[in-house]
Parts: sequence; C-alpha cells; structure tokens
Amino acid sequence: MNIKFMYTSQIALLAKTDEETIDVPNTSNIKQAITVLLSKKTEDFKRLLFNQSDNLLQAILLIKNGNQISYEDLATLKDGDEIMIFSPMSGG
Amino acid sequence: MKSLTAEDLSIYEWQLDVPHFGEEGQRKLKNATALVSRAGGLGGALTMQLAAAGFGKIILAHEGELKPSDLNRQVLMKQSEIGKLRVTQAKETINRFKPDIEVEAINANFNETNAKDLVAKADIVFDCAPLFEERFLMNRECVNQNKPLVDCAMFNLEAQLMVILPGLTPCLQCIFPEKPPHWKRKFPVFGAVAAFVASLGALQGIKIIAGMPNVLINQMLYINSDTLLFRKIPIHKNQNCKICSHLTKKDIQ
Repeated sequence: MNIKFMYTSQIALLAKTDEETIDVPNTSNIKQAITVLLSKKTEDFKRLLFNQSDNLLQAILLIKNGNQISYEDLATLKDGDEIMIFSPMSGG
Repeated sequence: MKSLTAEDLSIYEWQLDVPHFGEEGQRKLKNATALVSRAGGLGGALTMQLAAAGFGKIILAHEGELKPSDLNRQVLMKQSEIGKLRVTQAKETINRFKPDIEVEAINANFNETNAKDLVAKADIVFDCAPLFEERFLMNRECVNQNKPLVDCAMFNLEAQLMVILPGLTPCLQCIFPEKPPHWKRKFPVFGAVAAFVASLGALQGIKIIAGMPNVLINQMLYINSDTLLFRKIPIHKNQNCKICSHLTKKDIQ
C-alpha cells in the first residue's frame, strides 16, 4: 500500500523534498512503515530521526492524517495514509 | 489601570472596531507588558506588531551586536549600525515609531540568571529565540509562573506557531521533550518568513491579552510558505511531562 510521508525543516532539506510516497506492506504499522522508508534513505537521514541506539529521537513528532501518533502505535496503516515526520524549528 | 487618551483613540481607530476587541481590548493592551526573547528576525518583526497594536510596555532581551548577516531579516536594525548593540537599535526603532511605548532593552539573552525576574515582570512572553536551551528555559519559567507563552519558529520556507497556556495546553516540552541533536544555530530563512510567523504570533498575543476568542489552543500551526500549506495540528499534553504534568486545572488562576 502507498503511504505518503511528509517532512519538515531539516528532514525536508536533507531529503530534498517535502513529501514522497512509499510502498509498504499492507500489514504495516507506523514503525514498520518507517523501517521501509529508512531502507531507502541514507545514514544521515536516519540520524535525523533516530539516535545511535536506534530509538526515535524524542524531538521528533509523528503526525498521522493530521493527528499526533506514537511511534509505538500498533494500528495497521491504510492505503493513502499520510505520515508527517515533524522536526522542530527555532527562532533567529 | 491606565485609561485610553484621545490620542490613543485616534491612533488605534482602525482596530477598535475589530469584533471582540474594542476600547476594552485596547485598554488591556495599553496596560500589558510583553517580554520578547530576542529582537532578531522573529522577535524584531513581532515586537513591531506589538507596538503597532499598542502594548504599553515591551521588554526586549537580546545580547550582542548587529552583524551583516542579520540584515536579511532583522527589520528593527540599521545597516549603518553594524557592530552596535541590537537591543538598543530595536528600542530606538520602536520608540521612533511609538514614543509612548515603554521599551526596556536588556543586553542579555534570556538565561537562568534573569529568567525568573523577566517572566515575573511580564503579562505574556514571546519566544523568538534560536537556541533550544533558551526556549525550554522560557517554557519552564512560564509554566512555573503561569504566564502565557507564544512560541514562534521558522526554518527555510516553513514556520510553526504554538500557544502555551500552562495547565490548559501542552507545554513546549510536552511536544518536544528534547532538543533535536542535529540542530544548527544558522539555518536558511528569508525575512519574509520571519515576518509572517511573527505577525501571527503577535496576533495570538493580542488576542490573549485582549480576551478575544479563537486563540490557537491545543493546536500547533504549521505553515509551508513554499507550497502554501497551512495546517493546524491537534496536540495534547504529555501526562508524564517533566515540566508541566504536575499542573492540574485547580492550579490555574
């Protein structure tokens, strides 16, 4: 099934895109979908989301179809779901 | 409480008829003190809008001198004043615009030493700071003192805006418990991006102080000005937040 990933700030800059659609297995939950995403990305991209112990950084906010979601959420995603991976911004 | 003068009524004539604002709202702004952390791209533009709206007092905390690279976005500054204190220039610009607004210019960033006193003097705090340590400190102090915090941020062509009402909404660290480890102090951005999120932040502050409806509560506003995507993202309190989880509704005054 197709999952649309949206990125913000540093993540979007590194990915060189605000969004992309990734094909993931039909039974995927959010953790599994992100695993598929990361398999197509560089180590630098992964490090924007995960620490060296492969835990999702607490600074990352995950938003599914416009609502906050936990990385540990076990619900199966649906075709066409949108996952926003939100990295915080700052001032200046 | 200070009353509105005939001059106030004249200056603010165009906003007095905004629904839910009126002379009462204007009076509240005149008697309010805003603390703005940093007077740079975000803070400068935001401060100008607070002054335009008629806040009675603005405290600006920002250490350091103007650099050339500040001038793509720091609209309170002057190119001829490179090397001079930013906060002094900010005060001069605001008072040239509005001499009656009291501007307290502090040549120091918001820090552990001054945090408590600065927040205590303010009715509302605007976070326009670049460093997450500073932002988290502001968040913590506003929660501790039950002061509203308007949190503005930007990156590239994007922006985010949150309003923190301690105990009623998530605080900043409910949503972002730690700083992003790869955050860089310098990031790509246009002054125009700073201007629009600063204006939206100022407007939230105006609404909060004036008691107007539709404050951005329990939602984070995300804007992508490249694609013109505007999205309000529902956010919720983290029941285990180390900063605000101790607050219950009965703590809110």
